Amino acid sequence: MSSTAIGTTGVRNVDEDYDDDTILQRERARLKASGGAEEEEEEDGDFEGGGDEDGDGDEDEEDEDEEDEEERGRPKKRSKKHRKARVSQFIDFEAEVSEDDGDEDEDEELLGDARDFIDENEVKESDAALRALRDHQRLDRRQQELSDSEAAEIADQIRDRYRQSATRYTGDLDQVPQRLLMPDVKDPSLWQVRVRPGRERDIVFSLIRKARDLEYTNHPLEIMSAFERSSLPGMIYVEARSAAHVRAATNGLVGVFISNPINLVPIEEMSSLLRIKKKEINIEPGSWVRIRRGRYQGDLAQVVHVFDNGERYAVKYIPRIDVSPQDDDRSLGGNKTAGKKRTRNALINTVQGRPPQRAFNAEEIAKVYGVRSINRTQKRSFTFQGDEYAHGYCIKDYKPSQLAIEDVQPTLEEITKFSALGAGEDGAANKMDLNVIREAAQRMATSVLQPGDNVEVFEGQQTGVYGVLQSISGDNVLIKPSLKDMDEVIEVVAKSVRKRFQTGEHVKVMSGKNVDETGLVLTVNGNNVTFLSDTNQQEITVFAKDLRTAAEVGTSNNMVGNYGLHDFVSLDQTTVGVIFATGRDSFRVLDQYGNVHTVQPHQIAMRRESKKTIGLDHERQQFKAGDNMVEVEGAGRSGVVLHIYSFSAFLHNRTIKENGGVFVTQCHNISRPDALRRGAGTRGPNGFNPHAPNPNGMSVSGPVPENKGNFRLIGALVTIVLGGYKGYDGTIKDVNGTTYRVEIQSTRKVITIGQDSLRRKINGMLKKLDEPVEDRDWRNGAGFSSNRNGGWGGSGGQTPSGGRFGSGGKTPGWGASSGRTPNPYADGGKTPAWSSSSKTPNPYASADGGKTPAWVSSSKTPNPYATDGGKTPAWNTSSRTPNPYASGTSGGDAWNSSARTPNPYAQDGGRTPATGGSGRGGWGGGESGAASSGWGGSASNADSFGGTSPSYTPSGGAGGWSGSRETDAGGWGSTPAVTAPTPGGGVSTPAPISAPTPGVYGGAPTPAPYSAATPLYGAPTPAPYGAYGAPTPGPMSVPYGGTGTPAWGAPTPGPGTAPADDRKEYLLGAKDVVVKVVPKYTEHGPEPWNGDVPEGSTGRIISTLATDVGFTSTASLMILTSTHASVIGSERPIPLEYLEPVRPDEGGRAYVLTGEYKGRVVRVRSIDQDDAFIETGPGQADQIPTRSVAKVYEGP
Amino acid sequence: FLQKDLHHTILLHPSYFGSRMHQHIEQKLHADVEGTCSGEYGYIIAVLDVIDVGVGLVSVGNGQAEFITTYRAIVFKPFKGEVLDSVVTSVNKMGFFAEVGPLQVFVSAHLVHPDMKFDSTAANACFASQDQVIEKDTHVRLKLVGTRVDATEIFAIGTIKEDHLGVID
Repeated sequence: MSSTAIGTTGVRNVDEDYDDDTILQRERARLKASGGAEEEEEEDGDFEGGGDEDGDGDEDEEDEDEEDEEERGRPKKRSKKHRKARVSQFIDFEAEVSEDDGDEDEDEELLGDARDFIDENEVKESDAALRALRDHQRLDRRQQELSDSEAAEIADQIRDRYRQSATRYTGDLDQVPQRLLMPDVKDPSLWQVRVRPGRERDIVFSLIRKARDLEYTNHPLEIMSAFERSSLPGMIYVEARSAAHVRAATNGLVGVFISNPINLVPIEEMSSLLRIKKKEINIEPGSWVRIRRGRYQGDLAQVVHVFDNGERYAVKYIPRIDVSPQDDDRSLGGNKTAGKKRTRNALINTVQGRPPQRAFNAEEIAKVYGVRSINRTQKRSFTFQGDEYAHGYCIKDYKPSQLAIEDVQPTLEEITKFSALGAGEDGAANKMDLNVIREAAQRMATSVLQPGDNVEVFEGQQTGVYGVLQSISGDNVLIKPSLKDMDEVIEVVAKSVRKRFQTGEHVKVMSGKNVDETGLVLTVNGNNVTFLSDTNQQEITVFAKDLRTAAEVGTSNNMVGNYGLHDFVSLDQTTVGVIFATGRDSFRVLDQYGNVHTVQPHQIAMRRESKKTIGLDHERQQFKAGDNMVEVEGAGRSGVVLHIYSFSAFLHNRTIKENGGVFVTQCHNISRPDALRRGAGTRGPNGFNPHAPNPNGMSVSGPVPENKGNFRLIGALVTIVLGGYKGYDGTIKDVNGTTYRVEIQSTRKVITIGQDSLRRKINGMLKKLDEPVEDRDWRNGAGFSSNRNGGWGGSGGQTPSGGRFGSGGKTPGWGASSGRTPNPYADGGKTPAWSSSSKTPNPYASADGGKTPAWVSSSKTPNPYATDGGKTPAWNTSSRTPNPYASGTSGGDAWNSSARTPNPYAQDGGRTPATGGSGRGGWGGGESGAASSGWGGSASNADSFGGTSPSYTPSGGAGGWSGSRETDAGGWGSTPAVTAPTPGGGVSTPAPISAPTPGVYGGAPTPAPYSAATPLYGAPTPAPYGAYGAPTPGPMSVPYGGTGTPAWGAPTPGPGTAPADDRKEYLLGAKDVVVKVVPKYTEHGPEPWNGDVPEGSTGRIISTLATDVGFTSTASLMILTSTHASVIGSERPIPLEYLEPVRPDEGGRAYVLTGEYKGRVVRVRSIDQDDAFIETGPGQADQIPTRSVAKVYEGP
Repeated sequence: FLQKDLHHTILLHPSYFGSRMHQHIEQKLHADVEGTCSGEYGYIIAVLDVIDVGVGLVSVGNGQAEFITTYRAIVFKPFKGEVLDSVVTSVNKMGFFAEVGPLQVFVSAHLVHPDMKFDSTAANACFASQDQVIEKDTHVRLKLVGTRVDATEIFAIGTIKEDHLGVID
C-alpha cells in the first residue's frame, strides 16, 4: 500500500496515508483482517432467521426430542449449566467448567446422601419439608424449563455461546495469524489492468470517484478495491469477482487500455503485490537526492530544508542556465513564437540538449538576459526567471515525488564539483558536505566488506584497532585484531569499520569511474586512497570502499568489444593505429601519422596482425614486434615494438606519459639499442648457424638476404664522370633513391648528384654504381657463398694483373656468380658460366654431356641456375673426358671429342676459339684461351692466343683448363686448400682432373675463407687465382708456350704455393705480427682450435717454427686479447693454420706477407677491404692487396 | 642480489651440432637469459657458470635439440622494505622515477619529505628543500614500499620519507 502514498514511498509512515483510495483499501484490509469472524456472524444471522421461520417443522420436533432425551439424561447438569451461563457470563469459561464439575459432584453427593438419609433414616420434618420443597422446586423448574426451552432456543443458546467466544477473538486484530489473512479462492480475485504509464495513480483516483458516485445507484461498481504500484508502471490492480466487473468499472476511463486483456493475478501472487518494503530513510537537511525529471534529471541536489513534515523539500543544485539563449528567449515575457520556444525548451529540458552545469553568476546572466531579469534579494541571492539562486546554487522546492531519494550514491566527482561551488564560503557548509560524503561512503562500506578484508575501526571504543575481518553478522562484524596483545576476536558495528590499505599494496578498483584500474597504493588518507595506476602512471584517488587488494598482477581487462589495449586496428583503408587507451565504450587510437583518434568499437574496421611483419631498421637489420628498439634520431625514445606497419613502427614505453606510452616512428629511424655494442648482424645463436658448413656448397640454401638497396654504397669511393664536377673524386655520404650525396674529396664539399654521373672507383677502374659489387657483405663476412663469390669477383677484378685480368675485372660476371641479381648476367654475360658451374655441382654429377650449349644459353639467360644445371655439364663432359686433351690430339679433336656434346662447342672448338670473342664466344674464347682471357674472354685476349689453336690444343692446356675448371668449381664450394692442390695434379696429369670432380664438391663447401678475408686472397696478386682458380690463370699465363704442366705452377709465382697458402705458411718468419685465432678450414668444414685459446683471440707472433711437409708449422703467440682472461699475456704455440693476420690500421705499420715486398715492414697509407697503399720507400708508394699485409704489433 | 641455480631450456638448431656445440649452448644461454626478468626470481643479472648443459633431446619435426641447462646466476629480486641506492631518471610533479639497475622505482610526491617541494620552474624539474635537490641523475637512497611483478618486468614504488633516506652524495 505504500505505493499509493503519493510519491513518498517509504518516506512517511504508512499509517499517515489517508488518501481516498487508501481509505478504500484500508477498509478492505480491515475487512480481510477480521474476515472469518464477521462473515460467520453474518451467516449465523441467516441461519437464525431460517430457524425461526421453520420453527414448527418436523425436524424441529425431532430435535426437540433429542434435546429432551438429553435433558432427561442429565437434567441437573443442564439446568445448572444454564444457570451458570446466565449468571456468570463474564466468567472465564474454562474455569467455569471445572467448577461446574465440582459442583455437580457435590450436588450428586449431596443428593445421594439425602436419598440414603431418606431411605435409611427418619428424616426430620424440617428436613423433609426442605426436601419436598426442593423437589418441587426442581420439578417446577424442570417443567418451566421444558416449557421454555424450545429447541430453537437451545440451539440459539448454544450458538450464542460459541458466538461469544468467536467474537471475543475478533477483538485483537493485530494478532490474527498471517495465514488467515491470505486470500483464497473464495475471495474476490485481483485483476491486472493495463493503463497508460504514468496515469496509474490518476486512474485509481478516478475509479474511487466513480465508485462513490455510483455507490447508491442502480448499478454500483462491483469492485472491491483498486491500487497501483509505482514499481510496476503501466498497470493497476482491481479487486473484483469477475473480469466483467472490472471491465465495467474501468470502461470509459481515460488512459485505460481497455482493449488489452484483463489478466487474473494468481492467488499466490496477490499478497506479494501488496507487500510493503519497509524502508525508513530519513531525509534531513544535507542529504543528497537526485532530481527525477526535467532539465536537471539525474543531477545531484542537496536538501536544504524540509517543509510540511516531509511533503516538500527545498533543495539546492548547480543550475544549468542557458547562457547562449536564442534571441526570443532573452526578452522574457515578451511575445514569442510559441512553437519555436517550445521546441527549444523541449531541447533544453532533455538530458542531451541541456546546458552544462555552471554556478550561477549574476553578472554573466545579466549580460545575456539583461540586468532586469535578475532581482537581488539578499547579498548573494538572486531571483532569475522565477527561481531563486544563492551562492551559485539554484534553490528550489520539490515534492518528494520529484526527487530520487534512494540509491543516490553521489560520486566523488559530483560532490567535489558541488563542494567546489561552496568552497568560497565558510568552511562549515563544506565540512557538512564532507561528512555527508563520508557517511554515504560508510554506509556503502558496510556492504562491500568481505571476510578476509583488512579493516580498521575508526570510531567508537575500539578506534584504531585493525585486523582481519572474520565474519559479518548483520550489522556487526567480527574482527581478529592484528595487534600483538589482542588475541580475541572483537565485534564491532560494521559501519564504524573501513577497509584498510597500506602503502605499497597492489589494489584494484571495484567500482566507480576508475573501475578495474590497478595500481600500487601511494598514500592512505582516512577513507581516501591514492594509488599509482599501472597502466598510465597516473595518480588516482578513490574511496577505500571501492578498492580491493588485487592478487592478480597486471592491468585491468582492457577489452572493449573485441578490441583490447595495444591492438593494431584499421580505422579506414589508409589509416591504421594502435589502441593506447580504453574507455568504457571507446578507444583512443594513435595512427601511423601520430594523430590521436577517439573511436568507438564500431568505427574500427578490423584488427590487424603484425606478428609476422618485419621491418628494417636504421642498420637495415630486420626487427619485428616485441623487439626492443631505440630511436636513432629525435627524442631517442626507446620502447618495445608493438606493431609494424609499412614504414611505421609503433613502440611502447611505459615511462612515456603521452598516449599511454605508445608512440609511432619510422622504421628506419630506430635501431637496436645494442647495435653499437654487439655490431650488426649478430643476434645470438638463434636459428641457422651462419658459420655452419654449407652442406652442398650452394648458396641458395641460405636465407635470401633482403634487398639492401643502395645504402651499402655509403662510404664508397666514386668519381664523377658527368657535369660540372666531372673528374672529381668523392665519397658517397647519403643515398636517396638514385640521387647521391657525395663529398668531394678535394674540397670537402658535399654535393647532390644523380647516379648516372657517378662511377665507382674500384682499384682505379670505374664501375657503374648499380653493378653488383657486394663488397660490403663480403667484408661483413655474412658468409654466404653467394656473397663470397661476389666478393671474390671484386677482388679478382682488382688484381692488378694486367690487361687480361683487367678484362676479367670488368666483367662483373663474378659478381654475377652470386646469381642474386639477374643483371649481372646481362652485362656479365660472358662469364657467369663459371659461376654457374661452380655453384651447381649437380651438373657434374649428372654428367650429361649432351648439352654443351648451355654455356651459351647460360650466358644469355638471367637464370643460370635453372638452365645451367643441365647445360654446364658440357664442360664437365669435356673435363671428364680428359682423354682427348690428355691425348694431346689437336684441339679440334679434343673439342670434337668433347663435342659429342652440342654443336656450339664443336663449332667453337672446331673453329678456332678466336671466334669465341664474340658473345658466348666468351666461353669459347675462354676455352681456347682457356682461360687465357680468364673468362673475361675479351676478344683481344681470345685473339691473342685463343685464336691460335695450338695454344688450345696442347693437352696440357686443355687439361689445365678443364682441370682448372674443376678446381674452380671445387674452389668455390670448398676451401682452396683442397682444390688448390688438385689442380696441380690435374694440370700435370689429366687423370686427377676427373678425380676432383664430385669429391671436391662434397667436401668443399666452406666458403668461409672468403668471408673471412683470409690471406688466401691476401696472397699476392695472382695468388688469389692460384688459390682458386689457380689452375685457370695458370694455363692462361703460361699455356701459350708451355705445356700444361708447367703452366700450372708458373702463373703464381711465389704464392703459387697454394697449399702453402692454405697452411698459411706465409706467416712463417713473420714476427711481431698481430694475428687472430680462427678455425682452420678443412675439407670437412671449419675446425676450431681446440686449445685453451678461444677463437677470436688475438696475439702477437713471437716466433714461428717451420716444419717439414706433413707437419703443421706453428707460431708462438703472445695472447693480447681473448675472451678468456686467463690466457691473456701468456705465450701459446698455435698452428699457423689457425691463425689469420689482422688487418693493419691506416697509418699504422704493416708486415707484408706476400708479394714483392714480402717480409718488409711498411707503413700503411690507406687501406680498405681490397687494397692497401703502402709506403715502399721514401716518397714511394705502392698498392698491394689488403690480404697481403698484416698488422704489426705496436705495443700495448 | 642472490645467487641462484636456475634452469633454462635451450633449443639448438642442428647447424650448431658438432664439436663446439657446448660453446654455442653457453653462448645462447647467456644471450637468452641475461638481462631478463622473471617474476619468481627477479632480474637475472649475469650467468656465473653453467652447471650442467643437460642432455640434448632432438625434437621430432624440426630437428632442433632441446637442452635443459642448469646454471648459476646472480639474480636481483627487490623486496619490500629493501633499502637501495638509485639514480633518478625523471622528475615530475607526481614524484620521481629512479632506477636501481634494471629496476624502476617510482617515488611519489606523497612519499617525499614534505620539506621537499616540487619545483617546475627550475631548469630541470626537481624536488628541492633548502639543502637538498632531487633532480635527474641525483643519487637517492630509497626504501621500497611495494612492488608489482609482471612477467617481464618488476616495478616498485619507494619512499624517501624516512630517516637516513634521501639524497646521497
